[in-house]
Amino acid sequence: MLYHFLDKLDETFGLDEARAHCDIPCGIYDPHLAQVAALTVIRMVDLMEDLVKGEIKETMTFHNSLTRYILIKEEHAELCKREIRVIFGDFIKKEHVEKYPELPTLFHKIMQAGSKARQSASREAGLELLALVNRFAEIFWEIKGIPTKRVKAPYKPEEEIVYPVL
Amino acid sequence: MILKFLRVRGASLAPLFQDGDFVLASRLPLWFRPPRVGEVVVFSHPAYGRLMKRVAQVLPDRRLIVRGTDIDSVDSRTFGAIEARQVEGVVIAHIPRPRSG
Repeated sequence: MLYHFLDKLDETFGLDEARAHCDIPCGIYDPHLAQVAALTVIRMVDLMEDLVKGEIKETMTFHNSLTRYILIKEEHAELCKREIRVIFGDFIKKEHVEKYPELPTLFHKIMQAGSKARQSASREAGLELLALVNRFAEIFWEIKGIPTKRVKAPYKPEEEIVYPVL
Repeated sequence: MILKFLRVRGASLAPLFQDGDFVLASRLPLWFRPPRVGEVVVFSHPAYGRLMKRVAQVLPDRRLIVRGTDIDSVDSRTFGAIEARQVEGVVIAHIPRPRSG
């Protein structure tokens, strides 16, 4: 076999390589993490609201809980931005942008909505972030040729998210 | 590079060329004609080293648009057209790794 001969030759003398280069080649891209992060932002705002409306206030427990919710909200809004940034930067190609001209604007809106969700304690800001990320997910799966459905997340805050139909 | 065996690294031309396959590349055809659309060429890139990709388009100024077949391929979509003089040879034979199953 020529292959085995070349393989031996390569082992012994080291043949040169021609790289059919991919950007790692991992190819694992999924907007789901961004969607879950956006849901988490909304959930944290809900928990913050419950806490503030509750009985126990101005105790260390109250401040501890509030701080923890805020921390998670901060982290997940940032995680959401990062996940979308990676997909937009590494997966989305020029021809996808040509096919879906709304992509660059959508991307920019997600970045801004992510920051707004961090700055504010507003549920609407979280919902806005989720809506944009859902649209991004829809386009992503469409590019992959996989149909999607919109369903209510089976956990709190039970907002609608886009799932691939596999 | 009259004739040269090279080992394929990476998956950007999968499923036709897979990681570990060998190809035989030669500059000889290019003495008589420029690279053709559809041909797989081996070329040097200043940032990515020696790459192999399929010629997707030959521009009027003789520069080449090269593409992999994998969606994540790093090719002209990333680094633009390449100069014809960067091409070291065309792939004239493919010796695939024996596939199991």
